[in-house]
Amino acid sequence: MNVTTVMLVSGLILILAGCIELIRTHHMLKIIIGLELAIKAISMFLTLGGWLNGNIALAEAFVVTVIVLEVVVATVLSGIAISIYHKHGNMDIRNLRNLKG
Amino acid sequence: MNIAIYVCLGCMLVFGVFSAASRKLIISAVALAVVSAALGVLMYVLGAHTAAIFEVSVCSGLVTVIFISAVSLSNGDKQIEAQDVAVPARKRRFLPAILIGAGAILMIVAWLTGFSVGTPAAAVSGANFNDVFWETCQADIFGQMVALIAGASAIVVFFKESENE
Repeated sequence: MNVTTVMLVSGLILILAGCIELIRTHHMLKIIIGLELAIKAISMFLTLGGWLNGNIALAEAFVVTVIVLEVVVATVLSGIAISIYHKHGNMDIRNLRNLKG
Repeated sequence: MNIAIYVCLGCMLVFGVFSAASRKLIISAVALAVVSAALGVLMYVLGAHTAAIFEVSVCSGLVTVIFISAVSLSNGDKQIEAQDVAVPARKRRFLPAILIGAGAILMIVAWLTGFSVGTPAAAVSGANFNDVFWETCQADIFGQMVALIAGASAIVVFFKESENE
């Protein structure tokens, strides 16, 4: 078993941890943290792919794109969470069902 | 090199599981920042230097600040504790056990089947990051710009509504 297989298994465990966190909680900030954990594993997979193929520059370009999108997602979801908190007094994601329009 | 990779992977796994299992939002956010820092070091070791700088500065710094700001603007930790009252403590302890079990099963399956992803190849192209990013991935750049503008517009709309209320 070489280092690439260990990296693959570690990434899968991180994705599993993020998915379990998404299923387990209703708090929006914890959901964002679970999502971020899974995205970290995806970034690691992209870097691993570039390292294995010998084309690390292309993998870097994709990782930078993923990082930018990750920050946008985290910022927008945090804004939604704060808006829900101001409206309902908590950050329960089930409050999104009450939105209109 | 392999030792550095194993250390980074260990840090990512330990702090990632701790981040998912922790009851305190601040501690979860800080553990996530440690995961990002370890991933940045891993990227640097693998040769993705620019991506490593982005990972450490943006993900480990900016995203953590966003989380802590969101927790500060609300009473997030108290809500987590109130939510956890409904979930028995023994159920919360299942998460690390499930992840350790899944990792052990995957390792055993990979060992028994002789699964191997392969070994790293030598660099097939002499292109550096700047050439690839600005010439090959121009569509990605436009997509990033659209996503940033959409995110900024969304934040403006959210806080504008809050001020009106």
